Amino acid sequence: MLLNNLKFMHIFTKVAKRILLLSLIVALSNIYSIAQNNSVKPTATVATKLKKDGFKVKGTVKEASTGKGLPGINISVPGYSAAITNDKGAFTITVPEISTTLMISGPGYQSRELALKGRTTVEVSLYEDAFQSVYDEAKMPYGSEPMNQIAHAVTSFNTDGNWQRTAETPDTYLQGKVAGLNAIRRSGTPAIGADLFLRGFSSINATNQPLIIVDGVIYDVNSYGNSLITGHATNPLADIELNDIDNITVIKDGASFYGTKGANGVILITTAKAKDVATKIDFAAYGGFNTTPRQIPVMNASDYRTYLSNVLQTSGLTNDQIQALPFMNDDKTNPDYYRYHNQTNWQDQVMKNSFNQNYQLKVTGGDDIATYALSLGYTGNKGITDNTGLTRYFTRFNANLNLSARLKATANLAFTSSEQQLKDQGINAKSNPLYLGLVKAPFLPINQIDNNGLASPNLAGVDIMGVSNPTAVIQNVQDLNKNYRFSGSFGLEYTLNKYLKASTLVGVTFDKVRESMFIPSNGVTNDTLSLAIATNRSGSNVQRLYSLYNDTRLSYSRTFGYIHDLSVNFGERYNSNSSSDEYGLGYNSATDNFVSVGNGAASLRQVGGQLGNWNWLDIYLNTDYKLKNRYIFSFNLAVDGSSRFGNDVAEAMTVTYNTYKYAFMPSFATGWLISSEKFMSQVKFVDMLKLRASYGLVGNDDIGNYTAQQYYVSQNLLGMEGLVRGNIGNPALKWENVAKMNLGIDAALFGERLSFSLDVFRNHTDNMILYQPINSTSGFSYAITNSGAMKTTGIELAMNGRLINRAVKWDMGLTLSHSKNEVTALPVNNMVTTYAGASYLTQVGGVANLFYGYKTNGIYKTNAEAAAAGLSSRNASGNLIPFQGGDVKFVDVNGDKVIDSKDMQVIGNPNPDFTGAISNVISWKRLSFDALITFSKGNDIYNYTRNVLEAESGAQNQTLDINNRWRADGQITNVPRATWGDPVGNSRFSDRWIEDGSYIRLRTISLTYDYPIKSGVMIKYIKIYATGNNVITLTKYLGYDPEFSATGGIFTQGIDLGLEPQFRTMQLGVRIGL
Amino acid sequence: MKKKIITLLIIVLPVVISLSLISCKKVFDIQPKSVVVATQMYRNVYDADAAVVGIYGKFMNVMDRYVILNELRADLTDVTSNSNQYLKQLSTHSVTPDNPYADPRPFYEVINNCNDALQNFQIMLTEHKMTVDQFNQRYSDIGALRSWLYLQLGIQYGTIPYITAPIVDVNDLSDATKYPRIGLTQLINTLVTFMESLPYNMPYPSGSSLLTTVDTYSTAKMFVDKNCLLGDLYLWQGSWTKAATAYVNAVNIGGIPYNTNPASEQTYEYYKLGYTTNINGANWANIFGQPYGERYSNYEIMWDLPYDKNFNPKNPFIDLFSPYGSYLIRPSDLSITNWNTQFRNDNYPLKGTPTDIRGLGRSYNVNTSYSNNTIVTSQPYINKYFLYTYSTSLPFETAGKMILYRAANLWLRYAEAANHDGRDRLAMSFINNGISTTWQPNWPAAAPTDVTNYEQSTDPTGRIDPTTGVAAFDVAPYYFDGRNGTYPYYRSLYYRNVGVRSRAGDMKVAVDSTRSFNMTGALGTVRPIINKTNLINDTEDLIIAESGLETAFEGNRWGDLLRIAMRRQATDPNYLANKIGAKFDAAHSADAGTVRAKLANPANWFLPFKW
Repeated sequence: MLLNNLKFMHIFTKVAKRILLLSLIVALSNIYSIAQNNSVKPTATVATKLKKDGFKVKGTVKEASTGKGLPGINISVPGYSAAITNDKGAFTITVPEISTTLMISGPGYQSRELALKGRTTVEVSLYEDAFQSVYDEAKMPYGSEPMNQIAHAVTSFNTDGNWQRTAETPDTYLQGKVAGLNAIRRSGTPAIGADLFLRGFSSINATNQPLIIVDGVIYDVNSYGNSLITGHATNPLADIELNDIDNITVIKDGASFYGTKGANGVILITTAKAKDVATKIDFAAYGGFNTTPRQIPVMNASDYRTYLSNVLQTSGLTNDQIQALPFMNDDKTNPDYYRYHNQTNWQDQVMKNSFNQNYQLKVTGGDDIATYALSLGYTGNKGITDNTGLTRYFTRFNANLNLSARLKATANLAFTSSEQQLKDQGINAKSNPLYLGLVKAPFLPINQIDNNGLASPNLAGVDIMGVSNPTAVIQNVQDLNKNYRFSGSFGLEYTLNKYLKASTLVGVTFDKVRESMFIPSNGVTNDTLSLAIATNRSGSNVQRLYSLYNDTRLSYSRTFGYIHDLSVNFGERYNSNSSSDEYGLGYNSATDNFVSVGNGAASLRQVGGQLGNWNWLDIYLNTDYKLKNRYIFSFNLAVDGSSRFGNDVAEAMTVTYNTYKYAFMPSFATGWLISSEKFMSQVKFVDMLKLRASYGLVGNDDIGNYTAQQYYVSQNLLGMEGLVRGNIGNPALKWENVAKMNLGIDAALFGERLSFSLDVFRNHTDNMILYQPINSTSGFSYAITNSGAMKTTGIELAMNGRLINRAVKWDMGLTLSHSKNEVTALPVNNMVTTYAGASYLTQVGGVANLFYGYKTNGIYKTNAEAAAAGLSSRNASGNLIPFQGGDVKFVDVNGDKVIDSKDMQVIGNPNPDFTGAISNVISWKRLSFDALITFSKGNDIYNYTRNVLEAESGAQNQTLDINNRWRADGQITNVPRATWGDPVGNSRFSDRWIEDGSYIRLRTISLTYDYPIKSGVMIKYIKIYATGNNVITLTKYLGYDPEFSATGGIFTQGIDLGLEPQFRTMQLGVRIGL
Repeated sequence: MKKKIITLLIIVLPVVISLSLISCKKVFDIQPKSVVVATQMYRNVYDADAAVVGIYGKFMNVMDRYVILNELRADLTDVTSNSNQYLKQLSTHSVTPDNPYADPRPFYEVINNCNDALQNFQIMLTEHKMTVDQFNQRYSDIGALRSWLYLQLGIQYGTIPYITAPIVDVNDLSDATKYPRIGLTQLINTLVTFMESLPYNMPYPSGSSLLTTVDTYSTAKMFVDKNCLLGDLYLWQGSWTKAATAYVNAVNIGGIPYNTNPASEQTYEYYKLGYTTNINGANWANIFGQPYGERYSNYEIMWDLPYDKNFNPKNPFIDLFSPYGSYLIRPSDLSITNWNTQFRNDNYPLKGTPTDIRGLGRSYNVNTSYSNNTIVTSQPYINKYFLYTYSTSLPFETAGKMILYRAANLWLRYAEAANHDGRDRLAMSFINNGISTTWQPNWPAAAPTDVTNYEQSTDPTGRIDPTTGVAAFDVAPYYFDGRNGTYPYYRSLYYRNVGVRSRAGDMKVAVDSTRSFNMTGALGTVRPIINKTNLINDTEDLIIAESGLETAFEGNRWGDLLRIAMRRQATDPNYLANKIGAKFDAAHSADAGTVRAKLANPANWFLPFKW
């Protein structure tokens, strides 16, 4: 491992040097050229003006953990007066009113507010900087605001770089962090990320993922085009390095900041900025070990052979025919003997322990004209599927420039380039190694074996049952994803006068995903095309996104008479996008050495792709008004236009301009800071208590770029291309409307030792996009219309407490969220959606995505019992096949003695009853210990993999449970009989495959040691980390892991396709500060 | 510097905001690049051509459904053990509304595109985006194709919504006035009126941009034959003379023979059931087995569409019919019996043997597997659609053609019209052995020296031509000249006409004379007709039987049976029940009684129309 690290160290230094040099030259030359043009240095801050007729207030500031007075702490009434504590922590300040609020801040300590509530003598304790406080600032769309002053439902936290959690991407990092946000990691593939569901679902067919804003610019996380690699999707959020994030703020309620893009909430990410002008250099290096998960118990060679002969007997083969099969032969002189008498654990062959490593360099600094933050890094993370892994280079450069006293500029540039070796995952029976590792016959060898039992170095080919060799897939299938993203923004802010500012921000995103794929003929099952048998297959594709973003606004902010705080923002956001996707597929190149599409047979080559363009304009007005720092009002209005909307949208809640219809989305929020009221002055244990209520309209514009337009698509007549109607146009097509109501309470008690936020909400979606079935006489099956509605209600709680506050500090946090969804309107009675053999039921009055299948009640012990029940199953030909002994007893709902689709019923709910996390931070002297426990309760999982492994219908290897299968009349067992092809449908989608997906997981633990450094040494600090990821998982779930998400859509939730499971990682790292 | 930036900002900021607002109309009107929006369609004749091409492309997608519905509901095909319950429902006339084969949507998909094109063609004409000629040709083509589709819907569903305006957007869906429902009789009258109103009834003229060769396939025969369709519609209507005229027009393409060169065999063979060894006798299979556009099969085929392995749609009939595919539909036992009860008139294998060359080996074949010299399975399968191409050794050779109209269809239906118009002899001449033989009773025993008055169809009433003093010739559309002289040498247009049965080498068939004629007179004397209805019906029965032998599995059967059933409803209400029932009798199926009972009620003749 060390050697490995050293080798990579070397590579890293080479690469890093190159990147560093390049970006430094570009970036620094920019700053200084701008800076030099401005000879005027910023003038000193506006002098504090004292008002003579104020009141005097005395007080002391203490350190919360020790009770010692704190010197050098700033106390102020902004715009009025200021003071600094003396060495005993005492201060005196003049205030304009006896009920005013003091702002308290100091280096190394939290910032907080203190409402005087009529007191003239106060005492206040401050916690250290890292303490999660109700006074922390949230980075809201129009500037930072202290959490206790916000009327919306918002969660905000500073990540502090989180240097110990390098294996995370921003989306997986959010797991358990925010009450109401259910982050489900997609799989165990490195950097694959998580699907984010903020307060449940708001839509059925449009996206349910929140809007992501990075440094003020929309960060598009959609994928444009399908991956060539089964089960894979590129995760653009992984391009943001967790280390580069300063703050994440999540807006959960109906604040219409982003109009028709805000239906699923907004996540605002602020990346690293220099905190002060002194140059700070951080370097960190990590290395770690990934371990394979517990294997699924499948049969060994002898059990499997018994099973196979058993199932073959039901296929119509006679005993003699079965005995004649090569794998049934036990005669060592038979030439086939050694080829079919092995003991191979195929799971061992496809999953391997692996290593990961990370190197990062971060430099911040500057002067009073320009500050910058530069970060560079390399990630090399192998997966647990053998021969897979990710390498990534990333760089980010952020600068803040004071071009003049009135003009400020910001620049944020980020470039990330990744290369990931992958394998097919999910439903791909031919080249998914994890699937093959489970179903491949264990008596087969990895390599070719001759008649005498000697193994050749060549890999064995496709076996007699037509199953690929998993090792061949691991070694020879090439699935490569290369992607890069550049996102850059440049902003200007001009102070027109004391109260008025004008600013503009221009952002550009360029994203490119390039994939290439090759599946060799040797060792992998052939595919059948319409024109030929495909032996080897190749493919390549390119997906591009170009996005231009502008946010221009006028901001007005003024305090009137220290009583009225008013801030108004008026502006527009404009977003112009184009995406393209091109792919080519090739087949049957001359040998497996020709791996590119161009080498495939010309007649079989396929090409395709798509193009998309869309524009969005959002005109917004934001008004925040605070009365006496305790009555908070916030009004937001978004007027949105989009190229996606139809041109004949119904008039309700729209604005017409220039014949074009705009969405009109107001929102209102109000808060009451009860704790600042005079009558609360006697309630000593309450530091902060705030009631919040908000109501607002937000929208979802994920309705397809061209769905509203009536268009023609190409239709061939032989090789001639003609045009035919492509759709039923819907000129009335509009955004989905989501009305969100939120009530909340925020509190901090006992000197902030305990704080909590409790929210209840109700989101009501109407004009929900659905595929509405239409008359057959239209020739189309459906039209896309705004014809559905649903509501989601929920409750969520976030608590933080300092359990121990002495030399040992123990902070514990809890997030708990629950949401429930109900469809309230559909154009049809019900909709049944299928995915991977599973069905979901959507109907009015129910949850939008309930598992819909057959209920079972054990198996028939005897033929007589089956005959007595008299049930039969209708096969594809419509013939009735009676159940017999050993078959599953399906529940005949309608009593017609036939088990068919009319007997399907709700058999599970993939949505959890509640999710959440418990976080712990314990620090003592130079040691600090973090532990995060996440949990999910009450979600059902359809175990697709187990359905295959216990179907007992073919030659696939089965789980050990199948050894207990029903074999003789009267046998008492719960495992049905094996039948070739499963004619009665024993393995159909039923509650046999529905499992409880609840789990509780020790998600992350980390131990940090701050190595003592003598003063005078160049090194400022050395921190040593030990981190464990996915350390312990407690669950009843029988698959590899209960956490996965096949897609972000609601009709794939809870289906375990057998993606790469989550795995345990142990990591050691060191961070050095210069 | 500072001032400059301020000025810049103050100017730029409002400008940016206002510009974006003013131009937002433009900003929001984005046209997709991979599809064509409505405003960019129908700008010139090439767009009109694209619409025509697209419609025929879509039309190919309903061919399998057309064949399945017309064959499985009729008497010549049956289900197999592989068939799903929905196919079984079609066969037993017990279709439930959820039956996917009964969904009229695929037909309406083409119809909606036709409506869209027809409406826009008219707009293009008024806006001078097409010349009148270009408009007439395209409008008539698509108008006729839509009529063909509606006729199909009518014969399958009985009462259907006759929609002639395109459904453009969701607002049209809720407009109930757009869906008037009309019955089959009214539909046929409406279609006749519409077809008669079309400005153009010829194929696309040479030089038309739609007449081209694409991927080696000439497009000339891909478009609907308007005269054939009009003839069929008249036949459904009972307008016999008009029907016969339309059919003759189709053969002559508007009154002018295809080719008037007396030296060219094409003159005598094109669509005339002419004698040519290439499609006669055992070579009859060439009509189906030869590639699309092949010369001799081309003499027979009037409207067909090719299936090419390189293009969609794939030949759907291989999977449907082949035992190596899904094998969902097979020849009925009745159809096999029908062939096996015909008699040879040639020596394949021996004159007088009971077999029909059009049956085994050509229209159908049998897949037999043996084990220890005993037959394990014997699967008869429909062979017409992939003769000579597809086999287990060539599983990807799926080329084929969908024949929608051919000369045999035309003359069998002509015979049907002529029979009702009092021309039973003429009708039988096309069924049996052609014009010249029918009107040359002595030939070849004593070849006449002067054939002026022979080998031409004569007036059925036996009228004498006052100028010649011999039997008067019939009038158009019933006059055919089959003369063939060597000294002096001359060849008339129908001299090679041989009739359907003679072409296949089958013995003649005749009605039972005792049912229609007074047979008491001496041999050789003219027997007077005593029961004209019997004569017409018996002749018609022979015609229908013959079309079953000649055009089995080609998608004509249900329409043919239904037409007769509706015609005879007053006199023989159980015609259809008996015809279809015979299939179940022949298969010894227990369903025979149920099906008969069901079809005794005309309400059950049609599929449920699924909205």
